[in-house]
Amino acid sequence: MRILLLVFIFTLSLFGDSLGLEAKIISFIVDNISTNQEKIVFSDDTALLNKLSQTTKTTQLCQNASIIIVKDKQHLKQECLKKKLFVLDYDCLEKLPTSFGAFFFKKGRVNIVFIEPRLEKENIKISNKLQPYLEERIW
Amino acid sequence: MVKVIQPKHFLVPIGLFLLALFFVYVYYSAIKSKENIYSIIENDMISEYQELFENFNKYLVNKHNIKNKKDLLLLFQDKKNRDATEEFLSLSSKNIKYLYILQKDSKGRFRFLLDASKTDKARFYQKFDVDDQKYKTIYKTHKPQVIHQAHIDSLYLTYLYPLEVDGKIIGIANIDIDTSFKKEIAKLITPYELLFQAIVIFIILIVVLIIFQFFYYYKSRHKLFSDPLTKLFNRHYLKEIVEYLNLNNYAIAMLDLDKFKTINDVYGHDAGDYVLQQSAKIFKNSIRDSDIMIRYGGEEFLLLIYTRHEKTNALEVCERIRTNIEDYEFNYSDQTIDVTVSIGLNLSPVESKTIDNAIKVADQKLYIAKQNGRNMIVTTLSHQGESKLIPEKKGVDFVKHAIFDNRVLCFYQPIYDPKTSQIVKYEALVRIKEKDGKIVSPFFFMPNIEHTNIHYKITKLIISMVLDKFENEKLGVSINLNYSDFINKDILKLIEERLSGNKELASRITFEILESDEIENITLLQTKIEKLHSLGCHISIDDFGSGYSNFKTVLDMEADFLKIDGSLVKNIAINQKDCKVVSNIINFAKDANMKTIAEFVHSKEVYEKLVELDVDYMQGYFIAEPQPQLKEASFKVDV
Repeated sequence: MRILLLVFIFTLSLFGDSLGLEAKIISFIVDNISTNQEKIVFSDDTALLNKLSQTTKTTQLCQNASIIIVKDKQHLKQECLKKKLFVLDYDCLEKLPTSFGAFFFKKGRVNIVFIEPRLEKENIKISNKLQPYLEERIW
Repeated sequence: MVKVIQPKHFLVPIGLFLLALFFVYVYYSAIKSKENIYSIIENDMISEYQELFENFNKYLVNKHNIKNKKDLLLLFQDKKNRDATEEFLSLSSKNIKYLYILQKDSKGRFRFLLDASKTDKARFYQKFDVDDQKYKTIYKTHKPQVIHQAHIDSLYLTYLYPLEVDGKIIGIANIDIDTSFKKEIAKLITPYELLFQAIVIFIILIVVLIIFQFFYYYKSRHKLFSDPLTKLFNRHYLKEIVEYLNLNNYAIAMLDLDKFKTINDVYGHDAGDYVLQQSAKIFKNSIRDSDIMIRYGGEEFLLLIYTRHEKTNALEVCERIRTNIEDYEFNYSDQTIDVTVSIGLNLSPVESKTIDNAIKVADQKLYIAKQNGRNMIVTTLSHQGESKLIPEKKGVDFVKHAIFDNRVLCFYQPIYDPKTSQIVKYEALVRIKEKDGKIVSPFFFMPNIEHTNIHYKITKLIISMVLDKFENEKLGVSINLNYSDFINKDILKLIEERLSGNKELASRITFEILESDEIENITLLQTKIEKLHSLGCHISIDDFGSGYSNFKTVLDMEADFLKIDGSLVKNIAINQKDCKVVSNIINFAKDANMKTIAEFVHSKEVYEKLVELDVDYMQGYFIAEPQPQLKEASFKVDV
């Protein structure tokens, strides 16, 4: 399963531009998680949000979103930081205690992390495809 | 169409093409060399890293007494140990972008134990998602692995080294090499690459340009060397190929469409063009691919017959042409035109020193074919098969020099009255004496100077010479003029100047006009004849029976004499039809009050027949040959 997903991600990385690749991976992640709310995505990265809107339900207002993709927390209103946060940097996981996972590039390779206790806290379930990326804690 | 191609013309593009190939090869080799350089540097780097990690492996085992994975994990849990080890590894090459130690956890995921990279540092035990199969292979083979990173930005390759203790892998040492060294090498090689590219492109462009020019050149050659009317080669082509022609391999034939001038006159020039075009097609269909047919000029064609393998082929080709022309029905504007061709065939052109001489020999044979009744092939220089060299045809310069050097002569042939056995007058016949003393007949130069100023000059010279000679003689003389002479103001002015005050001399002068000449304006001619009559001169119609004038035209000329054409006279003793025609002409002349003169009296039989037909006067070799001196007036023909 893990291999298949990695191959999928690798294939995407061959053909997509960087932003398109990011959008596709995040879209894939959003599709493979479930919450008790409708999945409406917002991101402070406007370009990424526009790309995401092609495959995922998005909103231009963070207040209306159920999942927020955070590039830089400085850009987000305080009320929005209380929502389900998915970050684009491993260090952000530490800075935003409510964030449940991260997608980022480490040494040029695509890396995905989900923090298991935070998923439980936020009442988020992930599909089997994302299980290999579960971590018990932030290192 | 262009059969003979000069090989040297092809050397330039072939040379350039080979040069372009050479540069393409050099360029390809340069690219290969670049790859080889990368490979050599890569191998050097890998050897260096291998040595580094071997030492590192020993360092771990010897200094830290690492015995298994757990020991290694515990070692690097301590930040001090991590810092010290990072310092140990930091002595490595500048091309290293990332240097880190990974270890598999219990779930098979890779985790950072140590990261000596200067940028994008990972935390201790942070998960690292890797997807390459080489990470599996290294656990199977226990051997270092190299991953060429084509899809990770700014990375060139990743080197994986298995850290082992007692044959078990305790961790993987990773090095990511960036592309900077490749860029440095490329920076050095790129100017040379660009230079090669520029040279190759330049040479390819030149080759394309030259190929285009050659294409254009051969297209132009095609136009330059072909006759637009008949689509055959023209004389330029002969000049082009002459230096490559091996006369050993060819027979040369001169072909001439018989009575083509008459076809033009009777049916018009469009019909003449049609005959030329159709004849050219027949020629092409009658020859082989190896033969070369050239329109030599007007209705004259030159055929180079390839005879390298079989000499008899030449005659067969000529006979095929002759019969094909004879059998073809030339229909133009609902009229059928009879066309035949005469051919002079030189079977051994190699015996001539030059191709020009070989063509002259063929031309002489063509002349014999024409003289002997046309529509035939002549291969020897006399129709009896004897080798009798006929003088070559002469042009304007020949006559011009002859006039300048006073080598123009007059021969006189008697016109004889068989009833009185007396010469009644002479016919003046022009000759040119060559520098070596040989006498040249007008046949060989007069046709070539027709309608030129030289023609009028020589006519005036002859008139002056004859009048000078006969001023003090008792007998008369005939001078030949053609239609253009008759209407030439200068010639008529000269005659008037010489004869207007000398009625006695004028009464002994007869001007002969060819019946077959192109008489464009009979009214103008009549005016000129009247003028000559008013001076006291006589008029004779020459070669009557050979042309197409009707009887009315002849009567309109108000001639005093009618000279019967030699072609009718020569066979009179054996040909009943000719005999009847001559008899009728004599009767017609008597009714029209004209005296008759029979020319070409070459035998006793002809002489006797003409006496029987009651012709007035006779002329010919049987009676007397033309001579520079006047023959005595009274003599008996030996019958």
